[in-house]
Amino acid sequence: MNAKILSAHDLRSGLVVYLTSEGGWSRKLVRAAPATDERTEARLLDLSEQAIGGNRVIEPAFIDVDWRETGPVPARLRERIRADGVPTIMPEIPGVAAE
Amino acid sequence: MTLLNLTGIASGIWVEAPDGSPIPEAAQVIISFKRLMAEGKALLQTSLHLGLQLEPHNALEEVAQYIDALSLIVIEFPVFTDGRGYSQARRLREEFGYKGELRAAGDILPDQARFMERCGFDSLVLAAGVDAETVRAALQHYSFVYQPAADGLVTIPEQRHGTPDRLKVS
Amino acid sequence: MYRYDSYDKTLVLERVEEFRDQVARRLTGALTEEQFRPLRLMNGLYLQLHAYMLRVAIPYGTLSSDQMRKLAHISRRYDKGYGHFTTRQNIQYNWPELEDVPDILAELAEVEMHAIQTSGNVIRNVTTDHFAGVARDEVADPRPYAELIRQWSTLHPEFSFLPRKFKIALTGAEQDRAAIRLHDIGLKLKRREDGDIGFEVIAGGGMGRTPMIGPVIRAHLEPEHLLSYLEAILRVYNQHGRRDNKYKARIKILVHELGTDEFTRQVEAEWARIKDGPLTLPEAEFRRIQAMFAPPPYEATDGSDSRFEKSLAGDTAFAAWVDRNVHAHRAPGHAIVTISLKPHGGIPGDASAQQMEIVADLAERFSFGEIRVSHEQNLILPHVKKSDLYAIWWSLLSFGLGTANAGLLTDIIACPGLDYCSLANARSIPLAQKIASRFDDGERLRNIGDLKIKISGCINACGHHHVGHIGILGVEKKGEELYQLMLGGSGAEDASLARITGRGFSEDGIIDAIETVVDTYLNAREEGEDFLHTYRRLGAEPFKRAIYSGETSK
Ligand code: SF4
Repeated sequence: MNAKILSAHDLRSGLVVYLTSEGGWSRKLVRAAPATDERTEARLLDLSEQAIGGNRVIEPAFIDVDWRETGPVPARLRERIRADGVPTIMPEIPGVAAE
Repeated sequence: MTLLNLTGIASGIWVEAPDGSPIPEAAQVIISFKRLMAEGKALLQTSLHLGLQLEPHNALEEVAQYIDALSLIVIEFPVFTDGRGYSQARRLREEFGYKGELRAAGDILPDQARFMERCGFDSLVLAAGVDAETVRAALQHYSFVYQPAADGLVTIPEQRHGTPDRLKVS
Repeated sequence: MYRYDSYDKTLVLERVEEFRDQVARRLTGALTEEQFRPLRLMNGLYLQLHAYMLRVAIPYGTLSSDQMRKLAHISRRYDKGYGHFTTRQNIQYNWPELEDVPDILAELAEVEMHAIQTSGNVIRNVTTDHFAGVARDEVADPRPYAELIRQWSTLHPEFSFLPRKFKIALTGAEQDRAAIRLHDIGLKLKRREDGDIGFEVIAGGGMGRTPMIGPVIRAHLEPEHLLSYLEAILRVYNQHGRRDNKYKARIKILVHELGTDEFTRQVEAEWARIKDGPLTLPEAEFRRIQAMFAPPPYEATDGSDSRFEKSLAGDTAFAAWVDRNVHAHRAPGHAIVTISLKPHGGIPGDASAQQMEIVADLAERFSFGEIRVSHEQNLILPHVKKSDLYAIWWSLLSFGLGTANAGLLTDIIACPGLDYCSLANARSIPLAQKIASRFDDGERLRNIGDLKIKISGCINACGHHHVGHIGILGVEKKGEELYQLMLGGSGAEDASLARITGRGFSEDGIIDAIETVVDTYLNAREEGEDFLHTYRRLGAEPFKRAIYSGETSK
């Protein structure tokens, strides 16, 4: 299933975060809230605007994902690498990997 | 909007005269570059104090003949990233010897005020939401400057050595 | 080395406090991200693919041992224990937190360093020949001038909102190790026939999506007029450089659109007006700065060194390292050492905190406490006694710093690419690692000889692919990484732009293609001819034929 999720960066740490369905922000891609219609997209956008206003996150952007049984898989390689939270060549960096 | 005066120059009330409308009954009137080009000669014959609104692309060479007749030049910064106005200001001061008030208007960040002051601006028109106190604080951040500019501050190299003698390398 | 006086110190500390205030205003929301972004960028703080990235200036690539130790300390305390040395002689930290950055800057200020103007549309950190002051082919040391430019350009009130970033590079040597023809301004110290030294001034070079080799706009500029001439160039550019299109905003486009003659005329007219003004270099200030770059007290020797000769004869691995990584020095009995940050399978330009400290220690013991960073992402010990080389090499070996590949095929320049960079289309680092594995054979590498591979993960060309003997550009096609192969570039005094060979390759495909190119060269080269000269003699055709033969036409 094709869906969109909303990603951003945490203002303080700069790390990648995803908007969850409760309106929180998670480092884990699996917790991202999927939007498959424009109404949900608008709602997610609205939540992210609030977080920007509250100076919690920056640079929000929708990304395309394929929502599978195991969870979302971003369409673009760029987003898959972002979701890992670490460069592909240093998967062992402590404290930043998303999982 | 707030007018922040940096150098203490007397400014008074200025009235804008949009292109195409008659020159208002006022002692101090701001006109556009276009109007100055079209009507400058005639306006010089009146007792008006003339102010000029400059856009970043306006050619200063064309303004040169009116320099002494102008008491205010407003340089517009359409977006804060457009830095042409800094060069316009320095050239007006250093190349054309403009002595009147130099005012910056448009999109101005507090942290740019210091650069503007150094380039020869006397006053800044701050947009709504820009806090004058923050701007004043930003003006105080630095004690020294490395390079000469329109403000004539003594530079760090000059402070290091007193009056400079000029370098000869052979 | 240049040392700050109280003025320099005060200014850098005030910059730290200004940024601390800006960060505080950002955190409370007094500054929005839109307002904060240009301010943080002017202090080298980016938001990258995964996190913030802080770029610290290493002015003209010169570091003391103490400064290097501080860089190591910062990487441990505030980051992830490593740093990345860039093609612009800077260092990047990939994981700082916003609130820590003012403290990092304060720590840097303790050792006379900063991150001022390491990004943004400003005059960037000035770069120079990493062999400056010790190269044999040098007319005059460019570093005092580089320092003068650093000071003049720091917080320049008129040139802090240029149409686009602005990079200046200098050299004083015949051989161009600073790629001066590919910078917004390139400066080369030359001696005229009448004996006077002056700058050859080049403007409008650059890489990026429209690579250009900069034209010479002045053959001889008296050094005392350096700053007024730069100011004239910047003023013309600030007023007339394009601001309507980010991709056409660099000075190279202005020079190109106006034509070199008209651009030069405008610069000269502006310069005529401000020449002999307050920017004329004051003699006393120049002498003050120059004195700090005086050569260190080298031990006098007649240049022969039996201990060194013995190690050379007795240890072939050492000899191989000396052959590639040790370079001729001005002072008899001394040498310049390149410490390779390109171990096969490693990340080009990365150094761990421990490696930084080892290099700092070695520099302190053997190189008068001085280190250089090269634009080829290696480190340099500039003042080493030949008799110390063997000991240095052993130390380097045990910390993964002894790779004998300077200037060889595996001395690859690679930008951070899609592993770190939010603008990237493809990864650069894993490709560099795989190329190095494919060619992981010292004998073979030495037989291939001088060959520069440069990899960029997108058209912005931070990996200098336009001037690689072999250049690789990463692109994205249908969600996949694809690599384009380019041949025949050079960033040196014989500058040329690499040309694309044809359709792109997958990661494995491009490594095969490189191997084919190398084999084609080996078969066709004449005695003593390096890759670039063979390519120039033969042209692209035989290489293209070899790469694309056997392909079924589509
Ligand atoms: S070349 Fe492109 S991918 Fe590489 S660092 Fe520069 S902007 Fe990023």
